[in-house]
Amino acid sequence: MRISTTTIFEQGIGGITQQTSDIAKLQNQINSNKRILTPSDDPIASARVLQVSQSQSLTEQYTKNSQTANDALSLRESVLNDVTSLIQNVRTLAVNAGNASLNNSDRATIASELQSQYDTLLGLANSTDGNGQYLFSGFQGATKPFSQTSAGVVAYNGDDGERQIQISPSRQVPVSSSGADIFQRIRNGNGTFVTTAGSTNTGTGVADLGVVADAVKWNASNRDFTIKFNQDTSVAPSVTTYDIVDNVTGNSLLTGLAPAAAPYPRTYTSATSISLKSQGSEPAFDFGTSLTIEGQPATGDTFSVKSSANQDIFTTINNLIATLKVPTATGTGNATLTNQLNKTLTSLDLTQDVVLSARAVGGAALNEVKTQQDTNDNLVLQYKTTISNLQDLDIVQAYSQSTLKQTALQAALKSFSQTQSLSLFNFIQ
Amino acid sequence: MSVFSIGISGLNAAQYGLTTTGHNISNVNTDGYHRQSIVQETNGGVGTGSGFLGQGTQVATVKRSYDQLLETQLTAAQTQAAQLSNYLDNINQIDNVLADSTAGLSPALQDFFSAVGDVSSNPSDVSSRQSLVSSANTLATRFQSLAGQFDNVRQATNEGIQSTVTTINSLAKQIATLNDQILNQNSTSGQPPNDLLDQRDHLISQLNDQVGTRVITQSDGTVNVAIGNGQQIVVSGQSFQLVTVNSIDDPTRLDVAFSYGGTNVAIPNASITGGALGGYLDFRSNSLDAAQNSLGRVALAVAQTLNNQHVLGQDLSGNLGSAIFNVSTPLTIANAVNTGTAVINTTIANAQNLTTSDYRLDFTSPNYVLTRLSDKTQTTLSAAQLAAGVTVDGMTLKLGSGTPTALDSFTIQPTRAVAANFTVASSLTANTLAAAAPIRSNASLSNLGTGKISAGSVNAVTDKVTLTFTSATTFDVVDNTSGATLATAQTYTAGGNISFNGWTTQISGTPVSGDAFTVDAAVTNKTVSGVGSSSAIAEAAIAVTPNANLKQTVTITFTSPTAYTVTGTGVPASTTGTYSATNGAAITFNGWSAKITGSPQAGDVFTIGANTTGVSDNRNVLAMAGLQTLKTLSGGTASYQTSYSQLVSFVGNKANEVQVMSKAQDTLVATTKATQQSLSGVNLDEEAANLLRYQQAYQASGKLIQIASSLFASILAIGN
Repeated sequence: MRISTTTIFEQGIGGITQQTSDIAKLQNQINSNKRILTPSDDPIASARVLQVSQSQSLTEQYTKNSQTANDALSLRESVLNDVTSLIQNVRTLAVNAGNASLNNSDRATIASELQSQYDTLLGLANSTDGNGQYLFSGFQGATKPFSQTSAGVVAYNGDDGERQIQISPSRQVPVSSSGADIFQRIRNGNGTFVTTAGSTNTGTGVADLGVVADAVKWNASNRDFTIKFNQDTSVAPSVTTYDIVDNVTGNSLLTGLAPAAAPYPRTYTSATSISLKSQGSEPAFDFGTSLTIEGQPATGDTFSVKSSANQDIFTTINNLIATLKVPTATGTGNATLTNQLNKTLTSLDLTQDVVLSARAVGGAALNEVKTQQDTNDNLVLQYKTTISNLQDLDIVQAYSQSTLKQTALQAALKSFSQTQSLSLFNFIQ
Repeated sequence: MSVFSIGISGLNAAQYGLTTTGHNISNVNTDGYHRQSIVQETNGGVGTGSGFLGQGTQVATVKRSYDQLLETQLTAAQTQAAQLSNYLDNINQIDNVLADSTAGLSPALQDFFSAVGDVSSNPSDVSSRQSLVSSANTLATRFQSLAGQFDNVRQATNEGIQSTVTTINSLAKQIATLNDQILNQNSTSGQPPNDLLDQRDHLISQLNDQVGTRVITQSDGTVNVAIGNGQQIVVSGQSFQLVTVNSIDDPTRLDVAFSYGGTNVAIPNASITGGALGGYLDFRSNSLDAAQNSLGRVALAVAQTLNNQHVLGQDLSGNLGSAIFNVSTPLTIANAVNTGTAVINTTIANAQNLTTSDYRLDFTSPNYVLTRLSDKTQTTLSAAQLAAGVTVDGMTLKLGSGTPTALDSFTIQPTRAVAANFTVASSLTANTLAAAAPIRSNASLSNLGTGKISAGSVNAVTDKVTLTFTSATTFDVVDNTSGATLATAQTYTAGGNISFNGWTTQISGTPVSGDAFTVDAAVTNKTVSGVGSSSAIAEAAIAVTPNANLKQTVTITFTSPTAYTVTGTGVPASTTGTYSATNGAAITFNGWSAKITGSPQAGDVFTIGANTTGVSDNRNVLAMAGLQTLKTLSGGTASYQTSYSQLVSFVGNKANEVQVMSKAQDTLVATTKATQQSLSGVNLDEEAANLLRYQQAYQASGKLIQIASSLFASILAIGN
């Protein structure tokens, strides 16, 4: 075929231009260490890189969140740990106070020691985190959760909110507890019902915690009863009888009628179970609970049996302090003290349970956060590898390609210059 | 005839040959030059008794090596190559805009959501909040700057079209002038004016670099040149002007129009192909529009979904949130030649259902036809629908005022300008960021049961809601996300508005008992579980406004372990409910939902009310953070990031495709050109040989004259 001079020239130059631009692109790739310089180099991979980089950024955020959750949970754990030891101390003091060998002034000393524990506890309940946010005020981090409205009465100013932190795409962990849940929602009595000795009792009857055989039956009852005692001292030994009155209907449970005068339907024996279930010819009733009273109740002594209600830890300690401050000398005084101490010890144990279970929840969350942090770290590494695989340059291959292209360019240059030097004009003299 | 004159004729012919060869050599680098050669022929013979005696030679004509077929092929290949190369240059600009991994949208979007995440960890921390406000501004700036770069490219395209049209006009004029000269010379000399023809062919080739043409050669040697669908810009010695005009559909874009007798007639974009002009138009309608719309759609979705969540939250001062981002409403452009007075208003109903296409609404009297320009899908809308407002593809079209006349049309660009007008609301500050939920729940301390109440959440527009018909005329509404029953025994009116959680939709037709409709993040779908029914549910429109009674205190009092009453502002009088400890109860009033679980006792009280001073609450900002990965686009199939990635891969793919096509076309041009050049190009070696040939012929003819002269001399010598 005929070749025009222009064609020879254009083809030669075209080849050289192509080689040069290829080398320039490789150079660019090597300089940036990226295979993809613009999306058009690999549209699919470019889009994938964006997606994966979002996942990476999201996971890094989760790691950051996990750290915050970790800090918050650790702080909460440390405060609750202090609360646990404090309650333990209070319990020890309460046990000591029950020691029969103590006199009034010893108990007053214990009371003042308890007062200082009480103040410490109030301080712990009002703990703040590094940002000055209260730990136990629910959503209201800037509101001081517990304030003493009058001596021994503490009000909760927070709410039931639980702060959550997102630590993975599908998991939010709670990092705070409502102060009400930890310090206030503590049932008194045995958790189902509470037996309280009448304040005007003169006998030595001391009630125990009671036993719940069937909480459903208890819940179905009117849940407000009074046990009334009568001691007939006209016979020897004296005979003590009791009646159980439903305070809602006003009737005696044992007769189904308005309470009759003494002697009462049932006979009392110290340390024998008093069951809230019909016996013998009594009208049928079964409230699934029983309790035991020990000692000798006097005529007119009463014990109320009611559903357990929430009693905050501050009230519990404060009641204890108040009880210990009252001088006792008589048997009744001792019975009141023992009744009160019994109730306090139970309440303290229930408080401890509540705090410990809150700590357990926090501990589990802490574990979860730590596991999630490891998972997140692995994921980030994985994402980085993926991104690198997608967009980074295989440097060895690129370098060898670059060398190859340079050789080709050299060949093109050389052959072009040689072709150009060939001309018939060179031979025409 | 004498030997002399034969010698002279040979000398002359050789001289012509040398001249032509010289002409070839000197024009070896002239664009559009076709190699010329002399066509030599004998001068004929003179009859003698001894037969015919030759009379030497003559040059019949100077011929250029020209093949019409090859030239046409080359021109066609070149005009296509010019179109692709221009397309490539343009798309590379937006490819580069998106290429930058630090300046693209992704990093800004990721930083924004990181800031949202930080606030969710420390909702009361003012510095985290401040940093969220800053990232929101960065995000807005990024949207604007990306949109700005798209706008620059659009502006450059308009300018390119203008300058191309100017070049076309000038070339057309020159071709017309050459037509005149060629006609002149043809008629005076009868010989082809080779160099003028070359010049004209070259101009035509240049014209084809600007726009694809059809060239028709006339019998008199002149050519007519037509573009588009037959607009003749050169007719013999006359040229006609093209002008650029604002498109009647969209004044921001330039169209090419044919100017004749003072009137401009726009040439449809699609009919102009080839050359730089074809490249600009193709790029604009097939890449730039879609890319810019796609960016706008991401911006719109970001703004709408985040705003919708934010207004359901509560800021540090206890006020409900307001919109974070401002975006522009869709552009609705009445065609410049509309004769009616109708004004169509378009609003965004639901970003989730938007496409990246533009639309055209034609009034075909009595109905309207909405055409999605990307795939030409047509939807017929009645005048009544337009009057009431109708939602199609996530936008609501409504006749604002006036009346249309038949053939009026409107161009709708739902997302084009959104990214450019994406701004952060001035009301957004560290304090007004609504990180908290406006409500919180509380269980009374004196509760005796073990019942617990969830923190309560504001019903979100993204909740999945099922409408189930309990009879042909009544239906129940259940929020599947919270499990709460939103309403029972609602009366069905065909086409009537049904609004819950911030969306509004309509059901039409005849539903039967058992029919169920799901509104899922406002993408509607129909699940008919009963007998077949002809009813349908319309696309939902979203307008989130928190319930007026949202923050009112509502009290739930258990009258027994299995029954409760609800009281409070916004709650109908004597509202009661039944409770099962096994399933708990989801309760919804005033726009919130809460769940009670456990075993409450008679007399237990739960309240839900304002989240006063709830500064450490992060529920709303957690919900905002969740939007990053929620599939809020393309009918619930793509997140913001996915949608943006689609844009990147769309542009990348298109650029890649054009690059490959352009390369292939360049190869075709090179091959065609080599073939054309092999016929028409000058080869210097060949010319060198020709020089020798004609030199030798010249020398030989000279020798002939010398011999003739010596012959003559010998005759003369006889006399001496």
